[in-house]
Amino acid sequence: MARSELKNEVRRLRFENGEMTQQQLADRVGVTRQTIIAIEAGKYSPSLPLAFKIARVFGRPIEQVFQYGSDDGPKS
Amino acid sequence: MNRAQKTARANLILILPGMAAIIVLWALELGPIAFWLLGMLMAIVNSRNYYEKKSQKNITTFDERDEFITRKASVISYKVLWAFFGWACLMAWILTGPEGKISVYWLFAAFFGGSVVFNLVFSIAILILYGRGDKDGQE
Repeated sequence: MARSELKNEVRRLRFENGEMTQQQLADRVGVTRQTIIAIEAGKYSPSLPLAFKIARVFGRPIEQVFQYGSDDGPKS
Repeated sequence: MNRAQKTARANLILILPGMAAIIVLWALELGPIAFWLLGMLMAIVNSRNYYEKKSQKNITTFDERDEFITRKASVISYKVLWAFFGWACLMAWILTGPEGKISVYWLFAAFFGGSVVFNLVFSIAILILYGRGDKDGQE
């Protein structure tokens, strides 16, 4: 799959949250460990509900966990 | 390697030698045996996929990413399936002409051949779409 434009801090946040394993995070958000691996590697962009679930696990707002890679701002 | 990848790999292991055997039987003019083998092959592949899916429904082994990849692989497989049916119809026309006649075996071969092609393309697409993503960043 193509590398996604969505950047994320999942890996860093896992380590900041008691060195949580990929499997533990996967179990808490209800996906497979392979999906967490793909998200961390930037190879898969999660759905909005999954992104919110991940952010909620870390107790952070979604924009602190996921950032859109493009520099283009909203067009008026 | 997850369930979808294991199933795809197992399908390829079954389908590729099966297809080779069918081609050899066909070349040896053992058409009925080749058809019988083709039918058996598809029955085994489809029943394996069905029972494997059923046996793991209570564990999180299939999530939104798997669904996305499966859907994409299905779309690719259906496109190839239609192309295969188009090719089968065109070949009948080219080989026999507009007023020609074809054996009813041709319909049987197109139907089961389509099933083989669908499963083959689906399995290859699954393996390609998952790619090497599972190994990067694995802990």
